Amino acid sequence: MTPLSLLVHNLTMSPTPTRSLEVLVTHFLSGEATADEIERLRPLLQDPAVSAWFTTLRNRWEAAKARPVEKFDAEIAWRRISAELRHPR
Amino acid sequence: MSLRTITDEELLARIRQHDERALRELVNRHYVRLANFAFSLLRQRDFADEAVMNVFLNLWRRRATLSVNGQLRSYLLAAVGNQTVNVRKRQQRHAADALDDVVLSKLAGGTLADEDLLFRELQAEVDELILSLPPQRQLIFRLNRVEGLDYATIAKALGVSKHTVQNHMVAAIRQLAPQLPRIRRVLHS
Repeated sequence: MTPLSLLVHNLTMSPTPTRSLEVLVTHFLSGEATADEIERLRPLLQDPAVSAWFTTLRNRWEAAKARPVEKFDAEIAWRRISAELRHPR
Repeated sequence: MSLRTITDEELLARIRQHDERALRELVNRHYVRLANFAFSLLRQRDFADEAVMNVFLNLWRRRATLSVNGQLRSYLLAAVGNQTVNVRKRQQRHAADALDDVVLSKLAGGTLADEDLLFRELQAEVDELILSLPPQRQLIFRLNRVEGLDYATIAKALGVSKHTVQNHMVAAIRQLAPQLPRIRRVLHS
């Protein structure tokens, strides 16, 4: 089965067409993919359409690691926790 | 022995023996990271502070009966996540202030690409997408993506099945992923 026909097979045989691809990619990106899943994903990514989709998704995945940062102070927090322990509101 | 050199689990053991200095060391070690994690979910500094302080206060008050499965760090992250769900309910009553406080220029990632304006814009877009996820899904997604916890650890910490974690991750990815127009055309040709 060629990568494209395998993909079409997956998409048409699955009750939710993109579900199986989404599961494979989610496992891969989140570091949970088994060796078997990586092998199943590899040929799918050779299709230009899937590859472009995956590249965009991976860029968003990289961007999702960002988080807003604020300056929090553990010492100030400890003073408040300590006060609360002594004099609960 | 200095408290600074002992493990989190040893600190917890001392806390169980009513050692307040051990609690202070735990706060010193984890407060800033936990507060930033809470802030990523709540976007309001005061609420983030409150959520994390509640976790440490509860830990102290329940020290005699507290059950921690797995690493303390994972437990604290999950506890903060659960606290944010409670705090969020009150936060919704202050909705006028919410989100407006977000300063997108403060988004930080840790890669060289951060210097790139386009990447910053992408970060802001993605951040909005993640913020639109339901609270539990957002929490699970951030625990995996930002805090680096695996599915099993997240499941254990939150008291849900690994399958539930997986389903939330797939749903989150679906939200992040672009459409698949060319593939759909293949199906129709």
